[in-house]
Amino acid sequence: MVFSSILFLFWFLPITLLLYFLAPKKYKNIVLLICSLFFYAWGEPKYILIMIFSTVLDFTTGKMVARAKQDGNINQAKRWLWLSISLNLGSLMFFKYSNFFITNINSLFSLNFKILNIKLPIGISFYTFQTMSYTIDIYRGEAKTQHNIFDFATYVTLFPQLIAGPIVRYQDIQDELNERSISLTQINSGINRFVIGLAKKVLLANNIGLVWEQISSGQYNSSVLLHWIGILCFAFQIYFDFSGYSDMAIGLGSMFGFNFPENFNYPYMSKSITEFWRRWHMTLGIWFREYVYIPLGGNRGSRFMQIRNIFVVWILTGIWHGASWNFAIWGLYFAVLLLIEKFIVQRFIHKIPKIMRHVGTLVLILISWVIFAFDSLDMGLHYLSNMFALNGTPLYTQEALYILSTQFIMLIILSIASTNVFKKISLKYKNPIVENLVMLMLFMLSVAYLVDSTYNPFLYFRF
Amino acid sequence: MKNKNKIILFSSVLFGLSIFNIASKDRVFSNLENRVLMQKPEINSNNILSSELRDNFETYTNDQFIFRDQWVSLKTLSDLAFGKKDNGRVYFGKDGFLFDVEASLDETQVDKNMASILSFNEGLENKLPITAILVPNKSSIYPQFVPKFAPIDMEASLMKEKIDRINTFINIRYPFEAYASIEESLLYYKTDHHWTADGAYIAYKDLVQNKAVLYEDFNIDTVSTNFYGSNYRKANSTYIKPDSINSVIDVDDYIESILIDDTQELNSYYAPAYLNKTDQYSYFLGGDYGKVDITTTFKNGQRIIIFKDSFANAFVPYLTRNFEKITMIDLRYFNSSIKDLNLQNNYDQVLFLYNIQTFAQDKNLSKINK
Repeated sequence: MVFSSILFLFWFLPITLLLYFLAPKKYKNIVLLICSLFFYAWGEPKYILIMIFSTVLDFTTGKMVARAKQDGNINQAKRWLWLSISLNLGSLMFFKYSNFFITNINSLFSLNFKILNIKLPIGISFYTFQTMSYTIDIYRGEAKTQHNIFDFATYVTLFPQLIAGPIVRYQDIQDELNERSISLTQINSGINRFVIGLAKKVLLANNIGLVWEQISSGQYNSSVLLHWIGILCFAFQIYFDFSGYSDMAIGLGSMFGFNFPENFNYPYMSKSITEFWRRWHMTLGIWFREYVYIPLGGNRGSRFMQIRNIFVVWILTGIWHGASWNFAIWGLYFAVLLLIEKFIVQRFIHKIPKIMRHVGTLVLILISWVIFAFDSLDMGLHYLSNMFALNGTPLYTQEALYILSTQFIMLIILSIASTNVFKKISLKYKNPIVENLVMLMLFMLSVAYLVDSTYNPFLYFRF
Repeated sequence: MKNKNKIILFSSVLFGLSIFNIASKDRVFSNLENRVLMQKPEINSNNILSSELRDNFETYTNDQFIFRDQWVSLKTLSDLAFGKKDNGRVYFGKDGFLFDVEASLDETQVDKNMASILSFNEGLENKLPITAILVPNKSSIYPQFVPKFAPIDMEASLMKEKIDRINTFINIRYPFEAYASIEESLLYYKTDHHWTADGAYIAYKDLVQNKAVLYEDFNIDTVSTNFYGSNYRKANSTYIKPDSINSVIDVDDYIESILIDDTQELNSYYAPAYLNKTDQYSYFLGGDYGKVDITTTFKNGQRIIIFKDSFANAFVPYLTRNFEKITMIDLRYFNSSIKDLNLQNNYDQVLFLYNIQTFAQDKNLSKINK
């Protein structure tokens, strides 16, 4: 089930809200658990078992680690920790990367192993990372042991962030899981956040995504203009889709009394790649920093070690996004850029005028999206060559002009919405009546697009 | 208190729409979208865990959403307000004009069709004059109403070039070529891909030249003012204005008999029942049949056979004043042998009357040599 659907908005959500707010306090978690399981089972009835397995696994290993530590037996604690990590990663690798391994081994050794007929359980990349973070944090003493398996299960399966994040570490919500109150302010901000997220997904991402799909399908004659418009559309789609979904998750969490961490902070306002990754998918960056980068040594140690650590983290970040070589290249691309920025550009970056830094960063980001968008490196390179007129590609065609002229207003809106202009305006001219009117309009318009809904892609089926 | 307003608003909208949805009656068919709507799926012990049931239920929640037509129209309006000029199926042109989004040209098929025509011509051994009247697409006659830069008619010249290769053998005519500018009359419907009675008249004049009966001497009148045509049915907007249909209302006075597929007699050239249905263009002749034989009161011994698509249905009424016998063959529905019709002995003239796109792309054209 996806948030951006009539089924969710007018069937699942009202019923869940009703049950939740009518339930007495001690049953609220159970209500959330049952509804979340139903939410997940709607899309994946069989794979719910894997999620339950992950839940039971880390609930148990968490308790075991805590007990071992209490007994002073660090080695025992370590053993339970590694059990959790290996089983979680094993499960993730099996479901997500088996076929990637098989196809690569096949081509490397000219073998012909059959690929497995397994579907990727939706959300597995998110919930295995979350459950792992629990056991690791128990080991580190940063999280409190959860003794109620149903409460723990509520954390794992919580439907707002289950499918597309933000990645919520147990320590982020451990207090709220056990005891939370819901204030009017929280619900109000939750509603705002949810409606904004819905509008971003349905009105912005879906629509510009349609243009990207048409352009990338190759149905138009190539031109430089077409390819730049195309990747711009993809850049907008993935940002508004992903951040819109995070907004909806945070908004829903708020309605139930949870404060989820932020995931996006206007990434396209960045003036460097370093800054970009502090604003894009922030919870993923935090996860990799906490659980991979810092354990490896982070930015301490020799320069060689620092460089090694950055490469490891970024290639892993890349392939987390998909079991395909272009994602590894995508990660590598950023590793190189980040290293160049850190060790070379940092010294004189302030000499470059801000606008050039901004434009330069955006160009680098657009190029990265080309690598990200195409599984096939050939297709990605071909697309890039068209962007830079390397195939004798004409500057523009009539089709490109048509797309530009009919998408112009939308592209302007998308550009402005990528900045914090709207937020600043709403903070400066606080007017609850106007705010409610705008929210209502956005919601109604979103409903209109959902009802018509011939194109409502779910970009995160690979996660 | 101020704080509660948002919650009250959100809850009323959310719960209100949900309750209205459950309470409202389900519809079976959407006229606006021209399709059947999903009904409530039956839940039984067999399908309760199937993904098909869940998918159907989800489609059901969308299709039966209360005020669906209005929401869908709002979406179209919103798209247009943001500058979009098409919805993937039609272009929204100026002045209420709608244009079909074209499929790309299948060049092999054009070549095949032209080869079929040439074969057909050879088969007739030059004993009968063959004319082809090819009606252009609406967008090539009204380019000023097409959205700016719209990639429409991109392959029109290529298509025409391939067709013109046979014009040394066949008399190929493009009826509107003399009409470079827009006259007072509307040659095509704004919401349908077909030509109007006025458009068809120009082609009629082009065929019979100085033997044409004057426009004023035909009894032409309006039979419908709420024609929502083929383009409209792809437009998903209730805010588009309909067309009017004009026709030669006394054509039956000049017809002795109409025989369908050698078996069924029609009482009238027109089927007024269709004026109350979705596809009002079928008012002309009741639609397309494999074979239609019309005998007129104009006894001049001239017999014409027309290989056609639906455009001819609005054109033939004019011919009743120039031909004694008119046969219409729609190759999409005619499956008998053309050779058996013994064209050299039974007709004086062969006409291909097609929309240029169909002439170039229809796969049934090869049946002409059966």
